Amino acid sequence: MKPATIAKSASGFRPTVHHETLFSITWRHFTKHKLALLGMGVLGILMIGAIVVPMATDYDPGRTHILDKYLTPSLEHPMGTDGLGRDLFIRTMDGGRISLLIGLLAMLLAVSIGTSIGAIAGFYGGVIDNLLMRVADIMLTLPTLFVAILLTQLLRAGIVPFLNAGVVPIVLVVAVTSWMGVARLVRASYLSIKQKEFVEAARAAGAGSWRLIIRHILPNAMSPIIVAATLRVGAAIITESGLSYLGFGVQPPTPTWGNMLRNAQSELDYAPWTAIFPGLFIFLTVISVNYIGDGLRDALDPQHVE
Amino acid sequence: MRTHRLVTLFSLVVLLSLVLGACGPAPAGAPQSTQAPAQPGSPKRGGTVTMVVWQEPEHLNWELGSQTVLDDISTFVIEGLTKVNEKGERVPLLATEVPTVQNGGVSEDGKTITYKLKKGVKWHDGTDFTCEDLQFTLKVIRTPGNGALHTGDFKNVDTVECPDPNTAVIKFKNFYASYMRLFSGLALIFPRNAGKPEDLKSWAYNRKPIGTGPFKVDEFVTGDHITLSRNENYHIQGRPYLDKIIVRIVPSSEVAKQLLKNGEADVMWNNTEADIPEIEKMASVRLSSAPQAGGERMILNLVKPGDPADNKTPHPILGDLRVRQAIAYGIDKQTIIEKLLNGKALPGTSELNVDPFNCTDIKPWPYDPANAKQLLDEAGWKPGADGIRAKDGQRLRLKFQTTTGNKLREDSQVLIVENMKAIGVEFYIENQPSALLIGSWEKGSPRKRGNYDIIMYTTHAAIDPHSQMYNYFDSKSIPSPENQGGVDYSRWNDPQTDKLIEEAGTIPDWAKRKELYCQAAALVVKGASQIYLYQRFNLHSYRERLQGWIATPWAGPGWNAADWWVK
Amino acid sequence: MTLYIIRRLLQAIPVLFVISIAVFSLIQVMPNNPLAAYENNPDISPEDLLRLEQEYGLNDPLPIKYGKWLSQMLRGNWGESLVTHRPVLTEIAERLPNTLYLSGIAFAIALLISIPVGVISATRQYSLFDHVVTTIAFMGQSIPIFWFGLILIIVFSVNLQNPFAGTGLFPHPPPLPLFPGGGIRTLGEYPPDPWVDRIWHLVLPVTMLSVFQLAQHVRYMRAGMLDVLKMDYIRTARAKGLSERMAIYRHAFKNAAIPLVTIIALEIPGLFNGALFTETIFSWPGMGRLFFNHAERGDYPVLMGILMISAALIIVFNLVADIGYGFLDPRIRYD
Repeated sequence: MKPATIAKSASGFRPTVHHETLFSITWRHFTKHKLALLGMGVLGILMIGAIVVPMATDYDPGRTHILDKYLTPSLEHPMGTDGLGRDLFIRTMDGGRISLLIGLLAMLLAVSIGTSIGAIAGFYGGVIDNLLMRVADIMLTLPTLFVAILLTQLLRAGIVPFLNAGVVPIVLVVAVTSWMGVARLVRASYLSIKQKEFVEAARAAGAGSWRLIIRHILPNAMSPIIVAATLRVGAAIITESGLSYLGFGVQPPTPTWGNMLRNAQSELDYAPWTAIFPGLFIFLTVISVNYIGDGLRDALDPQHVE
Repeated sequence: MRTHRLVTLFSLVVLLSLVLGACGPAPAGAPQSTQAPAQPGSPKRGGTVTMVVWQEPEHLNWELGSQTVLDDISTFVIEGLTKVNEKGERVPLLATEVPTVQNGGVSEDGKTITYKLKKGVKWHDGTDFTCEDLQFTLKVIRTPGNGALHTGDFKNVDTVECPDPNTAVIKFKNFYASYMRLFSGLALIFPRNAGKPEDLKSWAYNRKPIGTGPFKVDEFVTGDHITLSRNENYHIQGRPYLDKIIVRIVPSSEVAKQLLKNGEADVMWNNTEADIPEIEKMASVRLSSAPQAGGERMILNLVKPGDPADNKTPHPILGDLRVRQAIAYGIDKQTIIEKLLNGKALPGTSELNVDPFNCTDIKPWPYDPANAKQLLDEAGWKPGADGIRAKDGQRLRLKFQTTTGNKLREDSQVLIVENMKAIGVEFYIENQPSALLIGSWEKGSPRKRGNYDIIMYTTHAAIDPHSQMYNYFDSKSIPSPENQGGVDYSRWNDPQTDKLIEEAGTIPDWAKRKELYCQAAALVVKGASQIYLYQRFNLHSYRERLQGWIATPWAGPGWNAADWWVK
Repeated sequence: MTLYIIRRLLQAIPVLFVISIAVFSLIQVMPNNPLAAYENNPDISPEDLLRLEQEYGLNDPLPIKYGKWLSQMLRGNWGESLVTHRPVLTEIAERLPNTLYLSGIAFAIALLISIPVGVISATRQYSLFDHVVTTIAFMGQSIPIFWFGLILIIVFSVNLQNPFAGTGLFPHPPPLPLFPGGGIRTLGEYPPDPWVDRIWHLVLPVTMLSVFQLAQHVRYMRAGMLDVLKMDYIRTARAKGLSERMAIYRHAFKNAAIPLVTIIALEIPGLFNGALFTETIFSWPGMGRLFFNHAERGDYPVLMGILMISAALIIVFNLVADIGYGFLDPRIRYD
């Protein structure tokens, strides 16, 4: 945004004007939120750890040290070892990398799908809106967990080959079952924003529909999208861990927090640390993300009370 | 805001300590050696035993379904003409003696078997057990379209005749090597008033089976429990000792273990090897183990993979015997057994590994990586820059699959992949759900269609090896579009093997049959189309208060429940 | 209004239809089939297996299977399970009461606690109570529920003993766990009094199940109240001399509750589906496990039955929520 120019008034008085971008306003409000900052800090540390730790040590997810199995936490192995002798600290960090990656990718995909559908529905209204919202309704009526299980098995069957690799199935499943909330939100935004005058003005100036949707309305609808997106990451991580826990997530030996918990549940009595740490990290990540989302919500919408 | 932050930190600390406190010591129970000898004492009448199972029975009709848990519960309630004891010997149950050629029960050509039925045996509903029940059972099995499972197994039977109510004569069209199992395990016996044969699927029997066994079914609450109570008219005097057996159904083995641990269950059905260290630490709990027939194995595809495979073209890599043998030499079975199975397994030897058909001459394939490397060198596979061998521009890279959702298998895979890397072979993992990987031709199962390199899974053998040997290794059992039912998955095709197996299927002399089958099994082992990893144990665990338990590989834990009593 | 309801119900029919086709196709493409377990069974001959596949109609093409299912369904026949051979409705009717029992109680407790707590938290914003509540609510929403359940079992059932074992309350002699590791009631010897037994078995699963809902509802209630308390009309009411109590409970609460009513109406269909994680961890024979077990076996009649009822419930309660909202908020008009 360009600085506001104020014409010289008759008396020559010119007040000072602060340049404020949306980003700087948001940041200012956000930093008032101590917990959100804490959340960002924790998340930051986790992300750095997740990337750096596996790289820094000579770590290979396929390598086992079977003689070292089930060691309790100690100086050499800060979180102990698992059933195949693998150091849990490194595995948890690596698992974090994958879980966070899944969370982010799933969120991006869900938000993209949801925003596109919601924007089109909200902008065009009428029959298109009805149809798209019916599709969303259908997706919403199907119990999420059930659909996720069915879909995972379907993808695993390898019907479409490239969709069966690595994290792709789980990202797809989580995204496909969670875009509906974002779509509803975006649709509501578009419905109200499209009535506003500046849209009329732009339209009068000759802007086509796509231009209006993307360049004019979208930036104004961003706030709730950003908040929803942030909170989605936490939800995606929990969904992934739930599905992996049931056995429908990423395949071994690649670790994710969810499939580490799955392995751990049979070891709870004699090796509880294999369950405590991944679960704890899921919890810390999700709560940090939630606090960040909360902070963003306050920052972006000063009228929202929390 | 500061208060908020402090409160958060405080709560996190509380949560953390609560969680860490959860790794507390196990509950009361003085640590005793679980190897303490049982108190000698005589059986007492009375008492209730709770057994927890973690597979959900769909129904209780052995002819409609074949779950392990169904078979195991049936042993309490339903009896056959004979049964197999813990040594693999056949003993009479509803028959007065086991028919043999010597006692005239089996004709010279083996096509007429006469059973003398025990007198005075009553069904749980009070009616008498007679030869008519056997005829009725045969009728039900043969009724088309009613969902009966074993129709094909009875195709060699001509009729069942009843000269008098307590004598049954089974006449065969052709000699059937597994004749001993009919009505004694491979199909049991229905009471003749169970219902109409065509309505098999909707019989009341399916929820409340009527048998002649020591216990009868009182109620079956789906997904929750089954209550069994003493059959007061049981045909063995004075038995059973117990008043009641409650079968509790839980969704997973971890939950079952918890119930064993906190005392709510007396018997835990089907432990896995991973449970063993924990169970050994539990005071007053005993582990029952008996080597299983069958075992965990890797099958190697002998033909070129495809969907469907061309059964005439050898596999580009595994078609070479030396490569297969090298892989066999390169796998460290002992470490898998010690570390993943807590020592409670035997190294795999061959297809037939339990009495009475135990091919003891066949020894486990040794772990010899040096030999493996040498064989691969000889076969022309030279190590590349990254250690993986190659030949004519092709990497020694093979797909290694097993079923998803099985921790033991997944862990074993990791170890095996490492073993292979050490000799220059690259295995890559692509697991699939069981229903797909080892499912039917129709559903595109890679194992059926031959679209795989190496698959790891378990088979359970039956007491008579003929169907096993014939189905797995006879060339007529090779699956193909024309023979979609075939189960010679590795496409083993050897005239010598065919000859041995088919001959063994025509003679009634068990000793001679064993010799022939073992020769065939040895050929398969040498050809390394199957790599026998380990032979697991049937593991169950039970509280010391339960006396009279005898472990067996051939039946469910309740096979001698009539003799159980509680201290 | 009536016209609106009729219109919505009519619109629901094509939606149900499409859902049934989508789900049916999804289930059919999955590799699971009820006979898959017999592939490795040495006692069942390959010919028998093929024969059974024919008998069960498993090899029919998709449209034929769907057609058969649909025509039966429209005549009121929900089909039979391919695995237990009992009518689908029987299977559902056996499990549904157990699920409603557990979910219903958890739901009720979550509401009973979350509403007052949310209101008080809002009226005493920034107090210690508020801070504790908000923090716990936040944590409750961030915890993986199955992990929480596992920890509950470890702590309260495996590690802690029941101090009342052997007394009149719990006749079973020690050792007896503080809370049972699962099931609806005691099956073995020495059961406690039936009412005690029921409550004893409900404590842990209800805790696990309600934690997330509690957290969510507290936050919604609190947020809603805070929004409303800042409104001008509340200020007016206070200025007019209305007691604090009247202002809060009469005016603020009613308005803040409106969105909550909508949320509650939308959650009711979820009670029917059961909670797979809770049922698995606490061996509760409910709808969640029914679906999961039968999904593993590809038992599509049962799966379709459950999903159709679920879809119908959601559609109905969506309608209830919308009408309820219109009823409570006079500014909304439907025509």
